[in-house]
Amino acid sequence: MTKLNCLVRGSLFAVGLMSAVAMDAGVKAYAQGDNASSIIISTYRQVAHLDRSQIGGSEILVNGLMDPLIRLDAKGEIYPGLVDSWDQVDENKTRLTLRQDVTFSDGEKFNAEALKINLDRRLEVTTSSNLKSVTGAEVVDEYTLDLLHKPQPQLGLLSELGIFIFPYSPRQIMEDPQSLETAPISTGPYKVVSYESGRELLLEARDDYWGANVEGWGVPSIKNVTVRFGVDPGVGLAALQAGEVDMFHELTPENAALVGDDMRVIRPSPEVFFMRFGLKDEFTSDLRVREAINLAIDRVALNGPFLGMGEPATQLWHSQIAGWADRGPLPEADLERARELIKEAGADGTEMQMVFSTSYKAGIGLMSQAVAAMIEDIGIKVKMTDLDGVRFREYIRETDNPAPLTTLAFGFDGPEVTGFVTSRISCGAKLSTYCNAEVDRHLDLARKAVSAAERKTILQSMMDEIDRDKGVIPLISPPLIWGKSADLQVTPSFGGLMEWKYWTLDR
Amino acid sequence: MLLRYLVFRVGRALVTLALMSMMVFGLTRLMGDPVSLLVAIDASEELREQTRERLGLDGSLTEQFTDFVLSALQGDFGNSIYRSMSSRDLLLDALPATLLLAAVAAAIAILVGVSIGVVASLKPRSWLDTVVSSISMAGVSMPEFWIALLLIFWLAVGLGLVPTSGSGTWLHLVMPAIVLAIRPIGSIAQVTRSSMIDQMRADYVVTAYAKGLKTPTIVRRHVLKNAGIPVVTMGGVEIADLMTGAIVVETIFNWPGVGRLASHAMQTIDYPVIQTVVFWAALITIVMNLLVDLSYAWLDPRTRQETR
Repeated sequence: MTKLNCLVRGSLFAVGLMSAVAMDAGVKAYAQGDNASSIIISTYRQVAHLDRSQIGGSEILVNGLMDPLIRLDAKGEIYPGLVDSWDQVDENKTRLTLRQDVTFSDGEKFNAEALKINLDRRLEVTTSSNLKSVTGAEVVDEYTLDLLHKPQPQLGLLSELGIFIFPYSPRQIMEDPQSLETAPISTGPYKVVSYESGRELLLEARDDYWGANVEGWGVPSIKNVTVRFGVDPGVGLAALQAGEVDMFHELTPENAALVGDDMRVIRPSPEVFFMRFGLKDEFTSDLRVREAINLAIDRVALNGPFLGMGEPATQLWHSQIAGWADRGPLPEADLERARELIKEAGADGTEMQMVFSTSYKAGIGLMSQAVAAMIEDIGIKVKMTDLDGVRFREYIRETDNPAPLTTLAFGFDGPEVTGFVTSRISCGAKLSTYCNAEVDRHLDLARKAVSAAERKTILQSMMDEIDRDKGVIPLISPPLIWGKSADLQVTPSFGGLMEWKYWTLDR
Repeated sequence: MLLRYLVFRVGRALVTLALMSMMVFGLTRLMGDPVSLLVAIDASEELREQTRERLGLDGSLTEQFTDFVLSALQGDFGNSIYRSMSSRDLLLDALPATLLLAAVAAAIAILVGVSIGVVASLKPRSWLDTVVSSISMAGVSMPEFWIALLLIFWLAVGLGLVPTSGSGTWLHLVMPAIVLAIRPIGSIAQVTRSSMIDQMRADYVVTAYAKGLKTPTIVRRHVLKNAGIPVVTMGGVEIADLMTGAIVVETIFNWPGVGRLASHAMQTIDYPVIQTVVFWAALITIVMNLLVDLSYAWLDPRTRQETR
């Protein structure tokens, strides 16, 4: 045998060996949602693991495993969840009465002790920054728990409970907390069958779901759910068109335009894109320049990059969120007046830096380019700086010397808008370059307001002040689009929330 | 003599690996602060500091580098920032899928690349040679993501022959393996062709023809062996490339290998995982280059003489 022959045979053997090793590692059979009781959902989002206490942003697809303590709809209404009722004892203590019929999927009871174990753990996990008010818990009796918290209006506290705390089995927390990352056990209608790290999650509807015969809860219509993570948006669209998956979360507007109405579900967006000014800048500190920029923006045209599926914004939260009110017709662009104001302010021909990040939010890059083009129309040169997602997150915290123009987003998980708004526009807040005592006073009043109607009036009055001052400019609320197979009928329910476990799915 | 050559090359490989580790450590620190992704955007400074301390990112760069080197020497590259798993285990989990994909792509690339290279070399400057050379040049030049998307829309969406992405059956392997094989096919074919053309002009081939041997016999028995050395070099480099994980292809096809792991780690600035993956890639590249050099020395004794 020649040396070359020996080398070739050796290489072939190595290739064969590598294949055998890899095959041995094995991968599960390719599941297909080919019947009425199973669906495949894929998403471009990456999920490192399933422990909701430690991850944020990508949890929407693991919500089937969990039930909320408090249920919130997008209109700001609050309903009992696993917590049946609540009563504020004093400014630092709220007494929670729990449902008595709830069980975890491992058979453990959901009671005051179980909730305390969960709250204690959440307070230990240092990245759980979303818990701003809760400080501890005391068990009163088996189904009553005193929640200890910082002084906080009730809506804020209940929103925090409803959005950020989902209980896990106390047995799992005590005996095997690491397994929360791969197979969390909770009270929801589904349980984990398997989880392949960051790639695929298989869920199965529980036969013993506590809420099966309880009014307002009930069992989901789909028995088996496969969730695939980290799918490229273009490939996700192809998979949808090829009939490989039943739903894709979320379609970009460009991709959504490639499919028919019967293949998409457009839901209220939890976000509003807006423009922030660097108010230490010589020109953007001038109200005339901010007014001119506001007049330069054609909000209807801004919907172009979203193919008309977004909602031009007149305030800092979406029309589906509590506190929104019809403020009349959209402000119209007036280029002539804008140019006059720019000349009056001596800003004609000035160069301004605009910072944005295409990887921060889908669609914000295209929108920012459109905004820049509109501003250039009134005589200001815009120098665009596109930062990567991480640097942009760092940049918007550096409020000492921001660029004159920045486009970013308000994101809302629920009806308690004051928290998000405060951190972005109030004096000295971490993400705010703006300071207006009158706006801060309104925010404070809104936090303390008891009735939804009163809050709405206060928030609208705050918007009047922001409009007068042009401190920030709301631009557009982008669409949130799920792709779906044409034969799948989707009926979103419960206030239009995105949680798919509340949807009725029929094939 | 071979032993001396081996010691020389292994020593050089270790120095390269050490320099590579320093570069990886430095470059990952330039990517940004992972704490920005871990905590809420409006989190307090106190929480950010606590998180930084928990991740061991609160020390100076020198301290962090010392810890990194000491741990790496013991084969410990640290835990992933986002998962309670060591980055080494994450790599080992992803490795079988990458090896499988690399093996299939390498087999396709070698078989097709060598075959078309030989065919083209037999009639240089003929229409066949022109076609093969153009195809191999296109293979080397076309971006992988573009080929991948074309194949997805043609084979998966249009014809429905294979799934668009994922893993689990041999059908899932078809498209990523073809996409990965296209570039190596081009380069192997080009090297095979030029090497074969050189050899076909050599005196021993003229002698073989004079003795009345037929072309297939000459090619099989004499020319292929001598033309093989540059092909082995090219093949080794290409296989090393495939084994280190194809970031673009694995991400597009959602293939659960090292490339996809690397892509996710880079998006989330997961330092330990990035360092582990890059260290693996460097190690494989160095080892494959070493093997290629050794096979060179083995196949061609003149190479050994040069190291004296």
